[in-house]
Amino acid sequence: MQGVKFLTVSDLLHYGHSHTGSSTPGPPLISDQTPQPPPAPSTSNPNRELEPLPQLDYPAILVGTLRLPTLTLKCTLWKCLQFSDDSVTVCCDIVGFDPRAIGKKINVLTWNFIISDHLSGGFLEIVKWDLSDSSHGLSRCSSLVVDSFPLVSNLIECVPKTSNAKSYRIHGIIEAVSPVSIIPCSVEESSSNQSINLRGFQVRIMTCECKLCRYEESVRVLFEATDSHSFTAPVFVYFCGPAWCWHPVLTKLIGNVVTISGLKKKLILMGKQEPFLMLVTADNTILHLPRLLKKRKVVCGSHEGTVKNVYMQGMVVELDEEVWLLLTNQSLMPSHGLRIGAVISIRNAHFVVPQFSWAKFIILGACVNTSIIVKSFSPLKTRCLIVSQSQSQLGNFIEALGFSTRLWVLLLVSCFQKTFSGILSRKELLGSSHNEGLVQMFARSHLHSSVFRARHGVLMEFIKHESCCTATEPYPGNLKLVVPISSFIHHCEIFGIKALLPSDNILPVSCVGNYYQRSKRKVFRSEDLGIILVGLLKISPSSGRLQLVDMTDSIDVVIPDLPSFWDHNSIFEVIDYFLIVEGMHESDLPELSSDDSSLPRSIFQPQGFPSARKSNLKIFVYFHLRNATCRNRPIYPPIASEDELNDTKSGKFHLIYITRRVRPTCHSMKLERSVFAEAIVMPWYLFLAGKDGSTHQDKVLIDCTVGNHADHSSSKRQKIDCASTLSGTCFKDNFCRCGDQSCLRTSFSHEIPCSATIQGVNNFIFTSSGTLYRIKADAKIKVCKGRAKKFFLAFISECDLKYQLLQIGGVYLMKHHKEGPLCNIKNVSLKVVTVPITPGTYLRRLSFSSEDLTTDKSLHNSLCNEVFTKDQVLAVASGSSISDIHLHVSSSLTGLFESDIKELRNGQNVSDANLGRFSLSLGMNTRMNANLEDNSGLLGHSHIFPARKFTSLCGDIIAVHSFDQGSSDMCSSRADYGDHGQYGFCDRTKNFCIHVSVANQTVKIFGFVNQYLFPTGFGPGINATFHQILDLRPGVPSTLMLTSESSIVINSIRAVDETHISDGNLKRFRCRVVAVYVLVLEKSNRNCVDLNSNMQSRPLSVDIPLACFILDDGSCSWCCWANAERAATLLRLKEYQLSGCEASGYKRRLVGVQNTTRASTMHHLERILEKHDRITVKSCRSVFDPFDQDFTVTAGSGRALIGLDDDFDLVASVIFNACINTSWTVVTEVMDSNAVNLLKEHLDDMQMPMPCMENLWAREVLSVNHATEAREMLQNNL
Amino acid sequence: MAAQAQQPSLLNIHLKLLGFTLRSITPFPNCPSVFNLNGKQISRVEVLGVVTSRDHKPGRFLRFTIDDGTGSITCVLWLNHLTSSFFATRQPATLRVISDLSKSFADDLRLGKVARVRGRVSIFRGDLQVTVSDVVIETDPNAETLHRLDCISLARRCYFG
Repeated sequence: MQGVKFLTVSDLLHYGHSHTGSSTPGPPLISDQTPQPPPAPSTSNPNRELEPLPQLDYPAILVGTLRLPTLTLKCTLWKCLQFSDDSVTVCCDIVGFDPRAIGKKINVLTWNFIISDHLSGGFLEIVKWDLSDSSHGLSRCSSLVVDSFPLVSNLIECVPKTSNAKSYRIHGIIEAVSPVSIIPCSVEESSSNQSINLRGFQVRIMTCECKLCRYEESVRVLFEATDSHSFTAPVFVYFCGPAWCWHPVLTKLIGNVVTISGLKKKLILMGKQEPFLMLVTADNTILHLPRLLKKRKVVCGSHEGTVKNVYMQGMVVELDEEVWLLLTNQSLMPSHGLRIGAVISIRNAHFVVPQFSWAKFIILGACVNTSIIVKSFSPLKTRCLIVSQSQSQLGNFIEALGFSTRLWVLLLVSCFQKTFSGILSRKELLGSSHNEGLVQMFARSHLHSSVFRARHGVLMEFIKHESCCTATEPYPGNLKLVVPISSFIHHCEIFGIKALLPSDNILPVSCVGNYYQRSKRKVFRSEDLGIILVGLLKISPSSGRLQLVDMTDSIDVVIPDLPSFWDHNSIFEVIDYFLIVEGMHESDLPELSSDDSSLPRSIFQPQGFPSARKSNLKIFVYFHLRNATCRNRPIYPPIASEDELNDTKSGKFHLIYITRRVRPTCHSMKLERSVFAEAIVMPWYLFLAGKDGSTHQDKVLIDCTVGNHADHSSSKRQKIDCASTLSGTCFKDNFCRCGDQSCLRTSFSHEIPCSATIQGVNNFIFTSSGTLYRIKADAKIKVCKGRAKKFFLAFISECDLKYQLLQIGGVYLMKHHKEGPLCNIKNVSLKVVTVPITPGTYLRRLSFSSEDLTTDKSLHNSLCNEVFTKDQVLAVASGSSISDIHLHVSSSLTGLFESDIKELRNGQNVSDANLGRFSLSLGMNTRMNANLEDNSGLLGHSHIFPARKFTSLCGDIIAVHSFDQGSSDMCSSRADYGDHGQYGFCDRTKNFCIHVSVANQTVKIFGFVNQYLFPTGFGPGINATFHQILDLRPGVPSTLMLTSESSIVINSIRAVDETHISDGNLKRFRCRVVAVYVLVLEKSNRNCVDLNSNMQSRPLSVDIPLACFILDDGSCSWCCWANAERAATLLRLKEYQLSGCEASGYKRRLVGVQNTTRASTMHHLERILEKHDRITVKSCRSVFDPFDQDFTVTAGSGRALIGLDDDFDLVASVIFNACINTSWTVVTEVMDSNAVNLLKEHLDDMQMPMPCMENLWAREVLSVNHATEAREMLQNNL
Repeated sequence: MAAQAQQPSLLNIHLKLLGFTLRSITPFPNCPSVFNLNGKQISRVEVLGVVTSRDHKPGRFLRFTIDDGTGSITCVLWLNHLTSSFFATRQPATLRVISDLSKSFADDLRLGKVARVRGRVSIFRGDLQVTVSDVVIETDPNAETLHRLDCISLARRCYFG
């Protein structure tokens, strides 16, 4: 022991740092267990690097006394073993525990000391130790030596006297130890009754009832006769009074055979249960233990694992191998040593395999029977586990649940704490001891009452273990996970990227002679994800897009039924939604690792997981607001924007028709300047009385909201409004004060009573009666002082949402104000009239129906009728079905109204387009821009657009690609379409091309525009209307251009996966290649460095963006399209021997080529592609006879390769070689019409017809195993 | 009476036929390149069998017979692509490659080899023969079994179904 320093507890506390110390130099011994590697930081917590405990730089021994717990030490658990020197005592835990060390001075040879303010200085983890007094050394251990430990050596508490009752002895295996609990009881003293709190715990011991045990044999005899015992009878022993301090000892002895003598029998009464006979410790109770402890039994329900992380103040412990330990039981307080990196042993826990769709793991549920022992202390510098006992409604609520539901609620708590920190207070979220918080209300609304079980207290639950068992736990599979948006995005990225890869099996898009990679879309349904979204609806200040927002992140949303106004403070819960992920295969796609429980982990992690958001992965969510539930109403009463409502509910309104939207050029991410919309004032007025208006809450809302949601405020408002509204007569009075009814009659051509259903805030519905007036063109009377027929609405930046929600072709209501900008235009002779739209100006979308109004639910019903159809087309802008105010009028009016709109449109020179040989009139309207030129002086860019046509177009988007990511640069394309610089596009713009299928023809729309012009959800697979697109070359189709004035309205989104291939309709057949119809070979960007590597596994050094093979299986022939690896396989480029090449003599003409292997074939292909960049081979003869094929081979430059070229020979050889094969097993998908259109477009570019065969897309190409195939055929009876 | 679903044409398909089936087909009157198989028009076949005879005229043709155990079929592989006026409409460069390939086929078609032959059916001097399009020498004996099973299965499902 020379050079070894002797330390005391005081020295450790003075040192002041968590550390590890050892008597021997070198790395510290962790424990008697096999040292566990620390958990990998990358999987446990990416945000934290876990460091090992620093080691004392000198050898040292800690000397002190090991003691049983006392109530005097500052410790939240009150049940820790203690280690003390003469002056200071600290909590401790010990591995290799021996009861004989209690009360003795021990030398701690290796230890960890963790500083903690919550404890009396710190926590000592004793890793290696021995007894100071060598005479008591443990080396003389023998199974025959039995030590006896009186449990009551020093009376700490007053104990009920047990008089002279008979004492009992039991011999058995300790099976379970309950937590220490306190029972208030009264003790009858001779003088008076005294009330005390009786501290104690129960132990379940499986005893033996053999002869030896029944008779008073000596304890030694009992231990010696190990084979004669059968431990089958459970006995409960209550360790009460001073014996409670033996709790840590008994816990560590679980699974060991012990003898306890000096016990008393007591009849226990618990509630209304039958009296229960229990053994109770007394003054003379003695615990007998053999010196060599030998575990006899593996306790059922035990598990050993390494702690990966501790969450929520120790209520959730993540162990290795996807095991999650739940320690919500407040009476169960695990050791402070349960730190990250520790190996723990859990006994008597409930093993639950939850059926959650969002994660796969095992839950270990701890109950009063459960004991947790640290088997190996953590070598990491992590904090002690400090569990504080606090009674709360939420805690009791959680305890009443089954384990998997319990974990769900804990995740909910963690999620809400993250999501609404700063928005809601802790008390509002978690509640208090008396009130429910948002979490509890939310959870309760999702849980059936049957999942709650009655609690029975520690004593009862320990004795009647089945009462705390989760065997009866209802199936919680329908519980969806509520996640913060940051976790959701992280999850979507992993989910989406996995789904998008491998994406080389996507048909490229050809455009102006080049091939471009297409993005791929995947659509996920919320029920498949098992995730609920919760957040506020906001407009992103940066992108101007509608987003679902919480404190962690935000996600773009598409809400088809978004009203013009909603409560921005409302917390919406979205259960039914679609997640759409769109991405493009790029080599730098983030590599995100995930396992089955990464989602719950990300929720529990304080910082969550960092999002690897990439610009090439677009994520958005589609849902209906009517399906969303407002969740914070009990906390915050609905702040119905009163001004907005009052403005809408009654009064006179102009009807305006939106003709176009104008956005100035160089629109940056933030809307910095005004945007405009052109509108026409219709000869109609709506008068809403608001008189018989009544307030209704949406049924959905009533069903889903919790608490008292009676909206007294709105009723009150209604009353005020009713009193102040104008009557119909008053309205007419405003027109003409002469009182002559004939004057009115001559002014109005129609006066139609109607009923209005008004969408209020957060799904509130109001109704009001009203009248529609149609004013004659030659009316004498005037409603407004000065009014223009056509004007521009100027939206300032604060009103960007109003602008975005504005739909071209929509009819809107604008309130009539005598002095308002619309009604008081001083100089109506001006060519350009602007009406500013400020935050106080309200535009309401109007819709009509000719149904008789029977109920006031009609507006909502009209919305609800939009259910997702089977073909999964998600409607986005669905005409009149989405509106703020819905008018129910007689059927005669609707026709009149439509004819008025038609007239207005004609007045705007709207006419069908005639675009050359293509008949596109179906979805396309063209308007001369003469009117624009008249008006654009206001916008300051009349010079921008030459005298061209503006067009609107509606169609299905096949593909969207940027010219920047194509296979060649945009120079040639740019040249084709002129210098767009003259149109004033700024540098931030990007070159896009949108392929739109219109009336079975593909139209290309080019755009040099900021991508923020594209609305959320824009991409392939949608149906959209393009307004104000410039027709660059009238008469020539496919030369349309998006400008800054253009606007795009998404009509619908296809919910099926946008892979341009049908919905998984796979065909598998054995066939041979008959001919190659089209083949495109391109120079690869990948460099193949090792020519000697395995041919099959080596990446192709030649790109094959597209190939079309004619396949034949003896019964039918198909047009099989393939690319990349599959095309290479069918071309036999992956085989060693190229017989065609050899046979053609190509080899012979190449000097220096020794053998024609695949490598050299590829080498030759590489070489010729180096020269030509791209080779396109087109069949120009038969496609039904392998050797009846002739080809046109074109180089990238457009030059045709002729027969004299060696290069031609090689290409021809490659193709013939593909036909000289045996058979392939090809797995294909039938291509949908979109994909066929795309291919048709490719072939049109090549001036080739589409073969009259079924088009298939190759998913997989496999070589045929003749023997296997033959066997299968025989087994399947041919 | 329900309309009978229209059967896809087999005219441009390479039918997998056993020797005895192939020998049973007859040409349509006035159309010697189209044959009748159970009322269906066919013109191309794929046969597989052992090469049992060969008659090689270098630069002109290779006539050979293959026997699949059910019948022997005469095949002719033309080797005069570069000289015959029959191929005048073809691209010279492609013909050069085809000619080289055909020569290599002729070299490969040795007696006793198992050959898979695709080609057009024709009548020569009253006898049925296959004008070879391409040849694959099969080395896996299981290929023969699988071909026979294919022939039976296709005949049941498609040709005679």
